[in-house]
This record gives sequence, C-alpha cells and structure tokens, in this order.
Amino acid sequence: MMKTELDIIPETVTVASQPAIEIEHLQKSFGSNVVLRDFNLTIQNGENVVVMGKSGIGKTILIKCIIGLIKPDGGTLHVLGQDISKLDHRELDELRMRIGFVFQSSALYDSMTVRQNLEFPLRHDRHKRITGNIEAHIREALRNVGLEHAIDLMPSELSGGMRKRIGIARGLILNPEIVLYDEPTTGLDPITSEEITQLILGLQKKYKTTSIIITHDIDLAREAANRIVFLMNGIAYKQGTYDELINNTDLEIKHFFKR
Amino acid sequence: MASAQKIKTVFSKTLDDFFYGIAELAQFSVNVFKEGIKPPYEFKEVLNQCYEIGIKSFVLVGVTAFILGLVLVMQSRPTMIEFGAGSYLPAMSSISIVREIGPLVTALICAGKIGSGISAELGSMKVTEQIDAMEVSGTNPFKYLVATRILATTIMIPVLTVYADFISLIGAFTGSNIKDDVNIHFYFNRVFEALHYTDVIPSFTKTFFFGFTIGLVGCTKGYNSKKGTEGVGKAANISVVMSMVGVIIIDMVVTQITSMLGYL
Repeated sequence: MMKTELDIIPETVTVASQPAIEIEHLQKSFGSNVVLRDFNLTIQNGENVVVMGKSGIGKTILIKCIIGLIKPDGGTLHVLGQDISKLDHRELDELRMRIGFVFQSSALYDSMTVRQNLEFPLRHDRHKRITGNIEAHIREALRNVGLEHAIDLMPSELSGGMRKRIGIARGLILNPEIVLYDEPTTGLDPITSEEITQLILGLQKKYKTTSIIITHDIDLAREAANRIVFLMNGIAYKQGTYDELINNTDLEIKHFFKR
Repeated sequence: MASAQKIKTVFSKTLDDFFYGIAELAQFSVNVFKEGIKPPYEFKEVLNQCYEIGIKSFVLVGVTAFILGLVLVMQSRPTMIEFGAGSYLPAMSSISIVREIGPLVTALICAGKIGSGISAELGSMKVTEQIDAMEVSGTNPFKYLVATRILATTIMIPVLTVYADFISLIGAFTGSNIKDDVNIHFYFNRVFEALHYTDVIPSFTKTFFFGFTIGLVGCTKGYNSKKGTEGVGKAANISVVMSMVGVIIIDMVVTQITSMLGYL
C-alpha cells in the first residue's frame, strides 16, 4: 500500500462548540421530484460527518447547496457563520475559498498539468492566504497525497486513484476550514479505497478540518465518521455514530448496512 | 388536418427555440459586460486566448485567403479583358477583398474553427464539472472563461482580417502574374489608389462585431450545454450555424448602413 508523508493514525477529532454548518428546513426540488424536503443538520467545528443513503437520494445536491452551486428552494443554510442566501457573488467566492470541495469525478482541469491544477486556486486567491513560495506549497500538497512525482503530468495521464488524490490535494490547497468530499472512494479498487480513506483521515488530522463525506463505502464511514447521517425521503432520517447505526433496528437502516 | 397541426406545432417550436436562443444570447451578453468590467482582470488569460484563437488560426486563414485572392483574379480576368477593363483588375480585386471577401471569409472560417472549438471546450468543461470546480475554488468562471474568450475573439478577428486581406492581395497579384507580367510596385500602387477610407473603415469596423458574435455564440452554447457528450456535440454544431448566420446578418446590416450613408 502506498504510504504518504502523513502519519496515518485515525483518531477522534476534538469537537468544538461553535457550529461550522447549520442547516434548517432545507428544501430542494427539481420539477415534481422533491429531493430535499425538510433537511436539518448542525455540524460542529472539527467534526467529521458522513452522509449516507441510496443513490440519487440527494446527497450530492446537499453539499452543492452548502457550497452555493445549487440554490435551495427554501430553508436556511449557515456556513462558517454566514447565511449563504444573503451573500453576493463576491462574498460567496470569499466563503468558498474557506471550503474545499472534492468532486466525485475529481473534475481536474484537463487542459492544465497537475501543477497548474493546484496552482489555479492559489493564483486566484485575492487575499493570498498562502504566503511564501507557491511552488513549495504545491509540492507539499502533492507530497501529502504521495504524488510529488506527478507534478508535470496531464490529468489524462493519471489513473483513477491518482486523479482522486490530486482532486483531494487541490481541494485542500488553500488550507480550508471545511472540506466536502463527494464519494471519494467510488469506482476504486478496495486497496486504493483504503489508501484514500487513510489519506483523508491523515489530512483531517493534520489540518484539523471539518468534513462532510458523501459515500456508500461502509469502511470509510466506519473509519472517518464522528457521526453518520442517513438521508432518506429528503430528511436526515437517522443519525448517530457508526455503532449506533449498525445496531439500529430500523428496517431501512438494517437493509442499507446489510446486517 | 393532422399534418397541418403537426406543421403548426413544429413551426411553433422552431419559433420558440429561435426567440429562446435570442433571449439566451442577450442575457449572456449582459452578464459578460456586467462581470467583465469588474476587477480583477484576467489579462494573462486574454493573452493566452488571443494566442489560442488568433495565432493558431494564421495558417488556415492565410492559406484560404491566398487561394481566394488567386482564384478571384483568375476567374475575373477573362471577363474583364473581354470588356477592355483588364487594367482595373488590381482595383477590382482590392475593393472586393477589403470590402467583402477578406472580412467575411475570415469570419466564416473562424466561426467554424474558433466558434466550434470554444463551444466544445466549454461544453466539455461543463459536463465534466470543471466549471463547477472553478466556481467552488472562488474563481468566477464567467469572468475567467467567458469574458476572456469573447474579448480575445473581438480583438483577434480584426487582426486576422487585416492579415487575410494582405495575403489575399498577394494571392491576387500571383493570379495576375500567371497570364501577365505585372510589376509588384505597379500592382500595389493601383491597389492602394483604388482604396478609399470609406472602403476600409466600415469593413474593418464590422470585423469587431463579427468577432464579438463568434465569441458570444460559442461561449453561450458551450456554457449552457446539457445532456452529456451528446449535448456538447449539439452545442458545437449550433454555435457554428448561429455564428455563421449572425456574421452574414451583421454583414448585411453594415452594408445597408454604409449604403444609406452614401459610401457605396
């Protein structure tokens, strides 16, 4: 298994009292298809929340609402103390710089090298949060994901696992306070999935981030989650620790975890 | 009766699509101006796009322009000689090329090459979530991807047109020399004598509108493309058709205005 620079020891994240994300009565529909009906969730600083649920249930819609890519139909959404719906474009951009987003498809800019992909958010950060040598920072980000040697490769030259790692490195390049992972292990073999899981844990430990991880990977959920939220029928149907959910007697939950 | 109803439905849908397309373009151009004028400005990306869009089209535009100039003279020469107007060949070719052939052919080539390229590129970025990735990293994709490309086409189409005019005139000179022995100084003297500022200014001005239209249509169709790779293909296709039609309509309007002002 590929080792990275990080000391990969899963540990419980210290949970502070101030909420990083507060979602109240969130609603989102596409035509007659109600995706989020009355979704409520509060995530504390430093907490790692895994959102699970069947495919197409609205998990990705949820995190896209959090980052402002999709506008909700109703409800309130406070991220790092700011009401998303009240922000103008510039304020939203400022907030987004404090949030990392790791896409399911990695969404690497395919006309740019790995270096340019990582450089892009740094060059466009008006507040220059990352001071000092940009090249050194990019190399450190790549070392964190064990891919420093891939710095000059194009995305088309990378394997699926490598693309995920670069996607994670890019999502974390501005040292965000919150990281949203959209199915980070989907489509990968079990060994690479485990590597990505350990990578996420190591990075969370190193940078003390708050995370929402959308996944169907029960191993990832077990290892990464302080809390698991089960999304069903547009609401946070059940939530609790991994052990609480795995021992839950609700038929839907039992069926999902295949006990 | 049923077929009449069907025709009515198809006609109605086509009309809807047409007005929807116009509204989409209008809204997009308002956003381009709104976002494009706000700092920070993406000068580096504009230069990069000028290179990608303009410099990389020089060979195609040059070859086409040379052949068109050559063919124009070879086709016109027998008729003009027949009417005893052989000596007007340089004047005829310069006015035709500068007023119409140079700008129009350059714009049509660029509508095909650049318009489809922009549309396909932005469409692919859209369906592979690269535009979303740009947005979540705090960069305004409208400013970075769209405004820069439209500015680049608006700058580079006039540059390419001037270049195409020049190459086309060389082609015309070469065409004249196939059958006759024409001195280059004499030829270009006659070319520039025949040209008036009323030929040059309207034809140069319209190229900015051509460039803006090609960029705007390519970006609008690419940025708004849907339905995966099929949507990207359709967007590229529609953008070429719409750009070409747009260029021809602008050409007609500018010619009409020039005529009304008494310059034709």
